[in-house]
Amino acid sequence: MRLQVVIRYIGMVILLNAGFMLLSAGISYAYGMDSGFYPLLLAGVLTSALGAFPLIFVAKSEYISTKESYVIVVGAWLVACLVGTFPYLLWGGEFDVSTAWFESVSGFSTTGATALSDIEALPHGLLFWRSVTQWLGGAGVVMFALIVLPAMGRTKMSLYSVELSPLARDNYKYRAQKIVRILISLYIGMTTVQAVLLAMAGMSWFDAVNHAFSTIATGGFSTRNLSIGYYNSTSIELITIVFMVLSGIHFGLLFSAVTSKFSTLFRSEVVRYYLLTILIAGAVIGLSLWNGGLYDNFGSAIRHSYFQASTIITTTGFVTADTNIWTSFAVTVLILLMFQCGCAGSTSGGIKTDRVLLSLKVLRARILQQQHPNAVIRVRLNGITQDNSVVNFAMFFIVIYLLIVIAGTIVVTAAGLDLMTGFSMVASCMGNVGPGFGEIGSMSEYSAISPFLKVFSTLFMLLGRLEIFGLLQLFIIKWWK
Amino acid sequence: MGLRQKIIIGFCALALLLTFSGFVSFVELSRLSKRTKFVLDSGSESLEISKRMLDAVQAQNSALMYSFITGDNRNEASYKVAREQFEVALADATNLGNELKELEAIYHWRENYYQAVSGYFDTFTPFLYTYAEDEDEFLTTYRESYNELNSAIKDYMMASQNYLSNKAMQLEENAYRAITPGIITLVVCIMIILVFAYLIDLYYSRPITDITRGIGEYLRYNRPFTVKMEGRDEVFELKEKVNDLIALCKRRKDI
Repeated sequence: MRLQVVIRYIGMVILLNAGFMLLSAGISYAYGMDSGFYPLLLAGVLTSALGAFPLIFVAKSEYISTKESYVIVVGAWLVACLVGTFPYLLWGGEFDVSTAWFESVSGFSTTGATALSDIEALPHGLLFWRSVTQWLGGAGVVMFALIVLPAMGRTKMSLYSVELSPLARDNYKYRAQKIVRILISLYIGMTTVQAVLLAMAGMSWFDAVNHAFSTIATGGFSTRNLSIGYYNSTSIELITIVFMVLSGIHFGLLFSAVTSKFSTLFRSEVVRYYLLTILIAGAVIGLSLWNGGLYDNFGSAIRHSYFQASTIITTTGFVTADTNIWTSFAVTVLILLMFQCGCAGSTSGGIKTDRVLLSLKVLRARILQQQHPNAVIRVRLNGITQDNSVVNFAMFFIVIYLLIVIAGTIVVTAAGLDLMTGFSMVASCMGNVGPGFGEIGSMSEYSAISPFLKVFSTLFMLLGRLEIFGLLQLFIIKWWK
Repeated sequence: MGLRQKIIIGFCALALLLTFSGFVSFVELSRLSKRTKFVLDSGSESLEISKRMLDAVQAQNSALMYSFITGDNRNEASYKVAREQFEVALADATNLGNELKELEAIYHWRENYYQAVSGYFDTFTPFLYTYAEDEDEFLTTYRESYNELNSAIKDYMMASQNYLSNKAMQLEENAYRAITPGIITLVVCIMIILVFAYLIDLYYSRPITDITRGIGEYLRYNRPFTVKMEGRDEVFELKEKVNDLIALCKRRKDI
């Protein structure tokens, strides 16, 4: 492994972060040079120095091996999280080391959980930086660096293959460079359109841009303590639902839908299953809430149920209602959505709808196999027969995912959290969702949990974002040789 | 860019960052020092102002009481001096900028007190004769306003000390915040030093070791001098010169 090449490209990603820090300082300046200006400026200067240093020594490399790609992606994510804490620590306020690390990892992993009790106390620049972290995280720190910094040539191919899950890659039928451009163009385009629509619906431009960053990245950071619930506006909620659901769909499919026929979207079995899940989940939760007498009319129950179902399945984590007071049935459905999440190739986290659908198909195939022992039964997804290796890996991933959630729950409950809080915290962080239930419910935040648990929960955020194996590879010493 | 320039840039960057770290720490600690000085100065100043206000009110009271008992109106001058001293002290307290609600209470009870004694010296006749029938009423009103003004000043004294005590407690937090920029800059420096050390080893130390080993193997075992190198810096030039030298030696040997 050529460590110098890894350092060089991580440096480029850090430089990108520094650029956005300085942009956030500009926002602070525009808002009357608020208290976030100097921390962001100082953090931007320091991060620039750190990122530029390796570029002086190491020449660009035309070829990057798979191992190097893995280390660049994971390393860039970790270093981005580290430098992302600088503005928070320099600003002070509620931020201590554990809170700043939590907030930074939560942003870059697009979890969107916050450890702050008063978000509105933050200056504009820092709020913008918070939103930027998840926007960058959503596009993939490295992926974004590749399109912005055009000097990498053929190296794009190796890097993008690490950034996207194996299932996601199947749907891309374009050349690597084009894939990156498609992803980023679509990403920026969707963000812009949503920001404009939110502003038209009554949000201030600042809030609209920040919420658009959060939605497209399926992050969940808000500029308000009450999140989207602050606006109490049906139109804002509707716009947010639409863009959350779109952001949970494979970006390649979205591109096809935009450039050719919109019906292309529904040709995908996975998308149909994903949309059907949202429709059914929203309806049954709404009925349960109405039946439980939690809302005055059916309309309100449906409005909140669809918003929460969409925000949880897409792993965004916005809030319009206190789910802690919802019926047990509604909470159970939300927990199930927290595991399934959006489609592969989107910005959402979790197990992914593709794998859930594949596992259901495998289950059906196994039952058929028992009925017809001599039959050759293949598992097909989107009309394509899936290799045994893909099927096995998907099953293995689901098992490992659930085992990690169970193990994590054991640790956090041992550290003093009650079962509901602990379980939902681990599941929520692992799926990059954000809010959980109990002490970390939709109307609460992570500020009450201990510094150890804050740092511990970031491990799950990173595991979830890097699809478990991306992070684990780094700790296998033999692999480094 | 040659190795020499790269190393110079590397060290300059480190020196700049360390200077920057030192400068930021200096600025932040200077601010902390100023805040500490402010808390200490404000503490003693507010105590001194409160004492002056209490003394002035007491002096006004003494002048009035003396006049009230003896019927001597020559105390008006000392009353007026005491009143002016009180006003100056109150203005100083306002200028401190603590914005405590206890200061508003002083203003309120000062008005009451002035109302109670208003016109006393203008229509001066010894109380013992003119105010005989109203004596109880006057004394009750006067005593109440005097006592309340005294209490308000004492409350202000306590409140300003509590306010400064809270400020002093914040200093602990400020001390942590003051060193944060320095610590972060040092963390960045350490990261850069680690990268720098690795890169110097990679581009400078290791090639020289390889060249030395290559020459040694040529001299001992007559093996061909083959050292692979990245980049075209000074060490690469050295390797090329060694190659030329070996080639020249071979030619002379053949001759």
